[in-house]
Amino acid sequence: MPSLVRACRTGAAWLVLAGAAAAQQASHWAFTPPQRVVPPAQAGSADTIDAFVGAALAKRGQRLAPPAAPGELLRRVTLDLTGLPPTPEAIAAFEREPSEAAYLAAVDRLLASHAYAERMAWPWLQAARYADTDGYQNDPTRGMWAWRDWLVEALHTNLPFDRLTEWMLAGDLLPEASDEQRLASGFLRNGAHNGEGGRIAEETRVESLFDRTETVGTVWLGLTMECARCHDHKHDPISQREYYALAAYFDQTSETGAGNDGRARPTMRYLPPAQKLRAAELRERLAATPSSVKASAWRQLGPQRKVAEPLPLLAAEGWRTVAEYADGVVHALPDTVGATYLRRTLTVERDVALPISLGSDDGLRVWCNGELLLSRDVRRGAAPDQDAVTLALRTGDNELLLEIDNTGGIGGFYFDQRDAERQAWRDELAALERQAATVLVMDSLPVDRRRTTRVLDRGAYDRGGAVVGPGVPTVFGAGPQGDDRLALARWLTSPANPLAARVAVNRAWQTLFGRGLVTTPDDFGTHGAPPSHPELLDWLAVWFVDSGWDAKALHRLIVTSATYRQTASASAEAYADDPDNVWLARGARRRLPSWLLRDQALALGGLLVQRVGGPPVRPYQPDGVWEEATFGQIRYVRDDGEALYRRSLYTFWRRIVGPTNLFDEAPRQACTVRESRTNSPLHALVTWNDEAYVEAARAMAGRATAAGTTSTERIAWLWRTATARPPTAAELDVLLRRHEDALVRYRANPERAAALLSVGAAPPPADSSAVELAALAIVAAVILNTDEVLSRP
Amino acid sequence: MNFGNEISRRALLVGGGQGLLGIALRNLLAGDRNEVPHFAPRAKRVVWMVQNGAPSHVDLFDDKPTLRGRQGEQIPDSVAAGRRFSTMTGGQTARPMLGSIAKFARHGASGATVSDLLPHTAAIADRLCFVKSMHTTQVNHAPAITFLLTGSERPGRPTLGSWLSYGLGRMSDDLPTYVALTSRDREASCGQIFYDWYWGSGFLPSAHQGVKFRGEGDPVLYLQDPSGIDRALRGAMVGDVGALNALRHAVVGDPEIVARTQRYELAYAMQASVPELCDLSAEPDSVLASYGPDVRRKGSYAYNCLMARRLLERGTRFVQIMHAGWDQHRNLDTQLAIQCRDTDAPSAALVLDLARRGLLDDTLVVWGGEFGRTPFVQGEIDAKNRGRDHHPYAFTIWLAGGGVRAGTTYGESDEFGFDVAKDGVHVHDLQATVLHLLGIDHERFTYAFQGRNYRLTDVHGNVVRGLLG
Repeated sequence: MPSLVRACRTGAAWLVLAGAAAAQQASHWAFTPPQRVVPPAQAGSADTIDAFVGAALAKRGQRLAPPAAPGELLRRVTLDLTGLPPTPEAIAAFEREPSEAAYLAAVDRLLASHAYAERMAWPWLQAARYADTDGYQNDPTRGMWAWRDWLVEALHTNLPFDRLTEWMLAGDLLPEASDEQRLASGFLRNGAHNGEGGRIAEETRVESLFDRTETVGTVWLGLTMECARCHDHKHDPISQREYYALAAYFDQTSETGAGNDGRARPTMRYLPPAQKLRAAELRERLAATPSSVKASAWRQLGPQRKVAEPLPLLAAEGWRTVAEYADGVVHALPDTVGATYLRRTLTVERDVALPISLGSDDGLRVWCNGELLLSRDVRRGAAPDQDAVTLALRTGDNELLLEIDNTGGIGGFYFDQRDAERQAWRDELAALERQAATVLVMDSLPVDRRRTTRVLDRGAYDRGGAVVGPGVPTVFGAGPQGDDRLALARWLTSPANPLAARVAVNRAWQTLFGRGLVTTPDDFGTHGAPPSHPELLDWLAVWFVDSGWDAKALHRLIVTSATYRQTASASAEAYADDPDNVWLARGARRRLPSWLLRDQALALGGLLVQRVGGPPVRPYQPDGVWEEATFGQIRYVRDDGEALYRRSLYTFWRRIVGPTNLFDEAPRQACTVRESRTNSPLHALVTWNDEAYVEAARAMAGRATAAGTTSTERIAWLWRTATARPPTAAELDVLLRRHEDALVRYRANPERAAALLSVGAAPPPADSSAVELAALAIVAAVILNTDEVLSRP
Repeated sequence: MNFGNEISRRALLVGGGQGLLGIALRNLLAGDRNEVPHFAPRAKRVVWMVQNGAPSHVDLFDDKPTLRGRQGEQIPDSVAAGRRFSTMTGGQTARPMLGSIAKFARHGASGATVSDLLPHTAAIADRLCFVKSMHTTQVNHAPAITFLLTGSERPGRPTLGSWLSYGLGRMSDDLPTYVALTSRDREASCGQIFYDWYWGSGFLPSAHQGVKFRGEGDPVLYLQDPSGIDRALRGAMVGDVGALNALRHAVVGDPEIVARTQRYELAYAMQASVPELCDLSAEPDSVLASYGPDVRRKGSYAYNCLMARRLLERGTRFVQIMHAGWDQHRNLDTQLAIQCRDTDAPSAALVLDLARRGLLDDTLVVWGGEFGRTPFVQGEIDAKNRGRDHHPYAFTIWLAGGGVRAGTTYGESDEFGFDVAKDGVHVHDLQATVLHLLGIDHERFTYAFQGRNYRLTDVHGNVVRGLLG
């Protein structure tokens, strides 16, 4: 073999080619700012896409295909924008009036729906490597669903992409950051966390640092940074030093890499705004409402050295009145080690037994009128209702004395009288607080505790070399104005970064066409795929920035183009001529992602519960999957009721074993922005046999039964609802014959019909014949498994 | 705007590609899948018995009289000081040597050293090639197993089985090309988890990911038709899907529609072939007995070994058996014997069973863990619950079958079993050698992803000629 070829094949080629590559790198198209391209024909904005695509087609002697049929188009845009099929009513209305105005109205209606935000959240979850657990051994549950809910809301309210960037990368650093802004920074904490026994915490921390750096590299720069962890990037202008300079932005958090409980600090307790408001209201009410017993203000002594026998202290000097200690609220005490003494006088008009509720730091003793009632020695943080004791109050004044121990950290105490009304408020408050999620978020180390970021030899956490400060690769010229994450976030969406807008519009294109203008959405570097339509990519990037980074406007722009609206009907020769549809001479038909297939089936069956947000749910899953993966440590306990019918977005994602009825899904181990679409027999087994699909098919049969009176009407309704077009005579014939056949089979064996109708938790309609319903369910299952229904048309 | 660069590259790739540089670059960018195998393979299939948790080389294969003779003495600082161990012993300052807890003897014509904990393995020693100079770079389980299976310690790269599925393709129409089977010790002594990336396809198309057979119920999820749908009705429904797809294909010429129909027919065939695979009624009692008493217990190591043979003879190319339970940080004296009892007979039976059926000649068998165990004790030297920590610097595995030099021992560790003393075999070397036996040059077998050509062996690895028969 010629030596050069051999050298190339072994990778040593890069040494040979390095000189030439370095010269090319700086002028690589993606590293120069997107240009304000003049479109081939002046026209309105949506038409501009068509001008670029049309010009490229013209060079090949082709042109755009005619528009798709109304039903096909409505099904396409509804699936693309919301991940759900159009309702039978929407299909009928659009077929009655398939006008331009009706299409634009439909697009606006879809964009305004929460379903749009849920659908667009999915690629973000893959990019964010979102999961509901840490991963690795024990795979503990985490509360990042609150971050996921924030994301859905941000997409729904159309938070501009540059703001979204700021929030996700540095929400905690924004001036007077709101809870939601801090929550948003959880984007950076969504990675896997290895808390394996024997694991060195710093190694885990450094892995998280790499993960963060590379995720930001992929999502905002479209660059694969990983190589530069160990050595200078071989063909993109990223040196190892520059890798660690970018990592330095993410190095200044208090995260240590320790922890194996899904709550690796820094964390925040997050309650959505409405619940948070209610909790504040309850706390205020508890504090403001006087109770039946007249109590003096608290007086406090200490913190000071703890004494064995504190009653003589009552006569001591130094007690001071503390008016602000309201009842029913946890109050912080100084972090001094020792004891704090608190006393108050309780006055009653007759003898009464008063139950009180207490909370304290590490230890607590209670005396009433000199009698010791409670003595606790326990390591804990103060919280409401940790201890209860009943005071026997005598007519007149009674002297209550508390001793609160503190063995380290911030101290605290809690006191309240327990009466029924206050108890109800307290219970509600406790219930609210239980709903709060513990979310992993970012924070910033104080200046005096900043880490020194070093280049790590071959990426080994314990082999630190040269010190580096924060910065972006020099190929981008002037870097951020400042050395924190906020500065980086602002720089990423500034004109100085030529990549963010291009990378973002390319991902949007990929979402809607199944294929990016650049087919390597994670690699815009010199070895990534060149754009198929470079001028269009730049034009869209500039347009997106000009729009104020308006994602909904971008989606609207694309789906209203003629390019998007083309029919996918074309000859086999046309498909063979351009199998990947690079040149867009037809509609971008493709199999739907598996999560969307399930959502579609739920919707077609009328089962879908469109509740937005909340903790993850556990729908149908074959027995024993979690148990086998965790050696019986973690059981899968299926939910009941509406949790079975929530969108796949809300299905619990165990990082070590993802939902079993999804396929071609990114495994949520690292940032993924590529789409995977394969065709395996195992997929067919899911859509045939998963309980969710079988149940959806029989639910569809129930709906069809109500929608028509004859078999033909019912089957036509099923077909039309699933495909958004009427069946042809030949199609109807296939289905009618199967229906007849199934009726014969089930009449002969009615117990089989009953068995089929017992799959899934939803009760079968009471007023239908089981045999009829089962036969129709067979037809529905066939329809659900046709390539047309499995595909975006 | 500057796209000139791209255009010139495109010209290189698509149009011109003239000259040496062009050809070289094209190879680099496209990968060489179509040329695989690069030369005549010695093996067509592989069964890899991954012993998760790391078996103790110094108790099972690598006899070190020094450890016995100097038991309780500190391992010299010149050997162990400053070396990295897991945090289980990283803080332990005393590192007293612990001699083998088992007795060694030489076995077979080859005189291989195997401890008396593994009598069945010892009995087939002349069929095996022991590698006593393995070493790795990782000291924790998940990274080390990931490294062993994918060539990288971080999750996300394709596993060996995926590479072979991608490069060599399928040999069966109705069984998966790459199957993973998992089991664990009965005492559940350690918490080793099987992560799904252990059989993941990484950046290769997900069709190449291993199909994990389950240890209970049906081996493949969703295999059973729902109640109320029998085989005949399901077959008719598959026919309907095909008919409707054909009607649609006449209007929309997308070849994916035809491919979909084929996959549905294949799924239907699998629903029959997988139960047949799991039906052991035709296995002679003598064969069942050779795998040991656990062979009928689904999800046991023995059952999985038998299943591996049945898969391999039906055309599965790569079977990855994984067994957890070798992580004897504690209770070495009691647990190691139990581990050996559960795994020794099935491992040996699989080799013999393959040989009996004429499959061993072109099936490569690999047995081994992700690293070894420390020659020094973890815990107190005289304690009943003493153990050994993770040890990446030297350990033992064995190979058998297609193209392997049977009846040999390759490489040596030093007198403590601590470091490699002779003929070291790095994990990447092992991977390169396995690919070589399958007719693949590990340096030429690449996949372009994110602008880089990835290999199983990264930029490392040498074929170890001394292992080849």
